Amino acid sequence: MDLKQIHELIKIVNKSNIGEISIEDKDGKVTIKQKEEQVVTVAAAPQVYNVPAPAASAPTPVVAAPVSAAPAAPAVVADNYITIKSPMIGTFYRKSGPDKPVFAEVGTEVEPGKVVCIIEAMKLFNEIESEIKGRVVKVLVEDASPVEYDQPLFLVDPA
Amino acid sequence: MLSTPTIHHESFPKKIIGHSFHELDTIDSTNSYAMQKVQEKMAEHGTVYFAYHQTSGKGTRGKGWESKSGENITISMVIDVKLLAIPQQFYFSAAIALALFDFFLKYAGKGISIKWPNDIYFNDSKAAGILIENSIYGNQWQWAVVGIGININQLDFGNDVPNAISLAQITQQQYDVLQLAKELCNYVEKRYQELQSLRFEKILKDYNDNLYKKNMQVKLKQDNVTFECIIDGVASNGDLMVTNGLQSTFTFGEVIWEIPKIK
Repeated sequence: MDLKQIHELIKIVNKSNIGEISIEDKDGKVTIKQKEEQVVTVAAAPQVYNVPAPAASAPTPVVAAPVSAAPAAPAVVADNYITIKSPMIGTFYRKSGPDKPVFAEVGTEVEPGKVVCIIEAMKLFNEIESEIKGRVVKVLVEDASPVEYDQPLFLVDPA
Repeated sequence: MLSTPTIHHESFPKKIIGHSFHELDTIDSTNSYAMQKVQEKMAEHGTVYFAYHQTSGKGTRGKGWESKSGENITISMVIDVKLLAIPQQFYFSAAIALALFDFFLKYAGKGISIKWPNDIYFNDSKAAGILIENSIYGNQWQWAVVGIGININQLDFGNDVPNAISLAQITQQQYDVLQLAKELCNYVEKRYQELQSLRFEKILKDYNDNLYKKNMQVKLKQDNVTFECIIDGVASNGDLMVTNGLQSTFTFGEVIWEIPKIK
């Protein structure tokens, strides 16, 4: 069995509900195990932001609700919160450097012109300024992860 | 004072880049200084900050830019980009790279090229780097702060940067750094005017015509896998286009370029 075949097999297992599969041929044996949560939760949409109560700082329950793609989401979500969205494709950074403070976290007051994050694309570093005034109630994207155009980044309570 | 709301910002002829030229003796980073002006809403198009000595010069995200005091150009330019849309950012980056290329073409001549996405190379050595930081309000690209580092008179780079080269090493001459920095502003102005006239195809063509290793075989590395491919060019979104690679296009950051060690 060559690497390509194993790769194909992993893909198939990933898409399936198979927990573990072993295949043996003259060259040896390959066993592919799937993480349990992947077996149970089929296609949990990563962009689901089920709005928690602002005061609750407990871990957000991930609810695998059938939700349409993020870019189509309206700017105003439950409880009149407003999202700050990504104006571009790139990599989301919460601070300007490894030893620098984060621009915005839960509780941070933002206002028009306040820098909330950096999105890097093609070696250009884009400081994204808030257009709205309010308090950040949720940071929706992890530091240093890729973002799409129009993807919600922050949830803001326009107090 | 202008108080008539009907006057549109873009209707004013813009001042040329470098019209306001600030010489700073010692500064942490000219780009940080210029970005601070932008955040304070004190930015003016064409303002330039030149530093004789940077204590923590910025390279790409976390990487520093080391430069011996007074020997090199370390400069940041505040440029109004409201005319451009965010998806046109690569043209801007390419135009700045071309301005540096034009500058080097005059002084160094043959052997100069633009390495994707925006370094300036002399043969296989890096002579200049660009760091662009932008301010975006909502979906509106407002300002670009263009940081440029050019090795001019430095003759010794130590072992940490084996691929660095200076203009002086290329030409065996020493230069007036301040004079060259002012001249550089004119080259940037010329390419900025091409952007303002929306001559994007020309910019992309000029960029690709002077691309490092164009149509040549190179080694790229993705996720620790090194492979050889042929550089075909760069697309309008900034993606590197190759033949015989693991993929046919790469976004910056997806691959590391393996440059042959020369020293």
